[in-house]
Amino acid sequence: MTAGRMLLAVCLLVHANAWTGPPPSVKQIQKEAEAARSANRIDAAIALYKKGVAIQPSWEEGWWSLGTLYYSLDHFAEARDAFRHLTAIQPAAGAPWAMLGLSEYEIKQYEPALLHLRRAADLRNGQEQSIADAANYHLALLLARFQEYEAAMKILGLFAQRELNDARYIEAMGIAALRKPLLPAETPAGDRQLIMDVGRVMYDAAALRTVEAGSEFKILVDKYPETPNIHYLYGSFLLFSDAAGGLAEMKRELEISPTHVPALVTIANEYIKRKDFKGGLPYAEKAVELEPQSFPAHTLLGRIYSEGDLDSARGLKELETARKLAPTSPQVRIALATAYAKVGRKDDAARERQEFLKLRKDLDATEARGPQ
Amino acid sequence: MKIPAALFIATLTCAAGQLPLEPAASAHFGRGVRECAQCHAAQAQFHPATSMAHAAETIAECGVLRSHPLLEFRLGFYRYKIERQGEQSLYTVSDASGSITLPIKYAFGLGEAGQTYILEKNGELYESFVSYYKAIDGLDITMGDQPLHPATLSEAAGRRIGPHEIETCFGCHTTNSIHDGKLEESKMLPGVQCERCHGPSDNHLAGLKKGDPQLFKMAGLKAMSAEESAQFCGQCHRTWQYVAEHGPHGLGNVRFQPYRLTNSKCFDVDDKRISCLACHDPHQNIDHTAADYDGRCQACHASGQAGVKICPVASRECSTCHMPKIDMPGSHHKFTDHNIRIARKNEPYPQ
Repeated sequence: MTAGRMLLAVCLLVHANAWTGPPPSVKQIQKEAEAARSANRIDAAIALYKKGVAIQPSWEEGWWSLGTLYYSLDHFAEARDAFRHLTAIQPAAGAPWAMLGLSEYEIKQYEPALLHLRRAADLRNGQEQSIADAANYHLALLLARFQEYEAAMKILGLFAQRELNDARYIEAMGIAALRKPLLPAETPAGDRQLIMDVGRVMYDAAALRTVEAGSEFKILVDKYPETPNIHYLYGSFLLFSDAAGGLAEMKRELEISPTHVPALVTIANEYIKRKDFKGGLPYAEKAVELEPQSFPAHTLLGRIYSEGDLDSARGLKELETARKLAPTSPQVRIALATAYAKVGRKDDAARERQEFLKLRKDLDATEARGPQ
Repeated sequence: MKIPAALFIATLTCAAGQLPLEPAASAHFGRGVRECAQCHAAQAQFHPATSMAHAAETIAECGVLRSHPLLEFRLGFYRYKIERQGEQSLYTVSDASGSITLPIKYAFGLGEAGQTYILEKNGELYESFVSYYKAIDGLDITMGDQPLHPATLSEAAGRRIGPHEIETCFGCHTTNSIHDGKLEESKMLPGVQCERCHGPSDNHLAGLKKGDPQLFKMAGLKAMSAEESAQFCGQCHRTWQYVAEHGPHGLGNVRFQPYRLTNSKCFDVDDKRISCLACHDPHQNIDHTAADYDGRCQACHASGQAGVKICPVASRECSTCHMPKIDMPGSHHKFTDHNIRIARKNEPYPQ
């Protein structure tokens, strides 16, 4: 059975009470369509819903039922069209965007799928957990495919914290952690074991099973000593409890993957924490050189120049570049405010601090809604 | 790409409790007030009685524990008891299955608001799960531990303090305790003593002996701008940058005065009139009389300076309205909000 079919029952149930009721013009059609669907006469039900939405194009439940019926039959292009109509009528509802993204995913329209699943996540995916989980899982897959690995891991980490020990989630976590821009079906068969091994450790780490994760990481590093990303992951894990060990693992990663920007950025950040600005400088510089569009790299380089009193003007330049790259990043605003204050540019400092407070307020509002 | 440190949600929470430190350690970075008082009598006169000087106390000298030979508290299944025995105090937690008794090693905080205890078990340090609060003259859950639900006696006793946290806790509550990132109790002076802020005095004394004190001047903290003092005091009271990055974002940050002050509309990075030191002399205890601060407010607000508003409501006790006292849940204490503002009734707490 496809993911689509598994979702169907739930989808129909979920939204049974979500609509305001059919307009009088299609009341009879709705009755007949529901009867057909109950009798498993799916083709007849589809024909009736199509008739209904043709008469009354604003009939939300009609579009929803049509979309979910098509989805259950794996007619994803038709499902996509139905959900697209629905999102036009109901742009503030999460579930239609989730189903639109899922339909697009199935027909390999990955870019719009990512866009629409993100939109659904912003709107909390509606109220039904099954739809939210399916949408978030596919969103994580697409984020990894489009190289937003940390964002993917964050979503999968929430599954881990809910102790949903589904092999698909673990596999997705492994792909994202190994920084592979691939969907599960696209990964080489030879990588399967590695992906699952890494996914399991990361899943435990995200689920706060830190003792288990610590032991598993040691085994992982022994088993895959030369595999890119493994030392970086272990280093990230260690940094919070054993900073020296974490840093050593990060540097080991650079021996294997000299252009590993996240490792460079993490090392630079660790040196900043230690106030060893000169120590962090070559790592931040290299990160900027390798990835000029990386705002964390520019932010860290700017902080090193500014907070380390190495070159205030260069520091501000780097931080202003970071702001241009990521105008909504609170971290950039914090660093800029501090750097401006340091050189006595009080109005600029005050402005950046206010900008930070505004961004923080928005973030708090998002966090207050909680994970789904 | 996001900063990779965000990878581990679990460990991030731990990291958020840490503070940056200015190490400044040297071989003789442990001179007490008595030695400095030989020349700096005015500064040393009141300092020994301040909350800062008592940011940590040995148990033999701990006033709260001396005056409270028995403190008891019950939380669910757990019973807590702190009992004085001679020059030491024993911390016991028990439930139906048994009990754990640990000697208290240090008391952190003078007890003006509260006091938390550092316990030792098998060579590791723990923060007590319950603390003393002056307002209730008794014990309650240590601030910040309210969300924890201890499942074992050991967890109910306290929270283990990790190596980095030891560095930050002792780095702020004591003087000369951290060397190469490690706690060295033999060199430690409890509380914030002269050299914790002014740095090591070796060169200063050597200069004096040579008859050239100017050559070896100590850092001039008085000359700090508002920004510099917020950074300096923020090493322990937390900087704007630190709280902005790590939180807490909400009522919990009312006790981090440099952050709150920096968010004030009137904060000006290079104006000394709004620096920490404009209102507070760290060598003396905090003055709780609102009117005593009026002169500091009026240094700007009665100056006739262009663009500076004059309060239409009152001309004295400015801080009572513009720096409201905020009751922080779980702290049994009202903190003065250093975010100076027009505080309107029922307005949400400005983060």
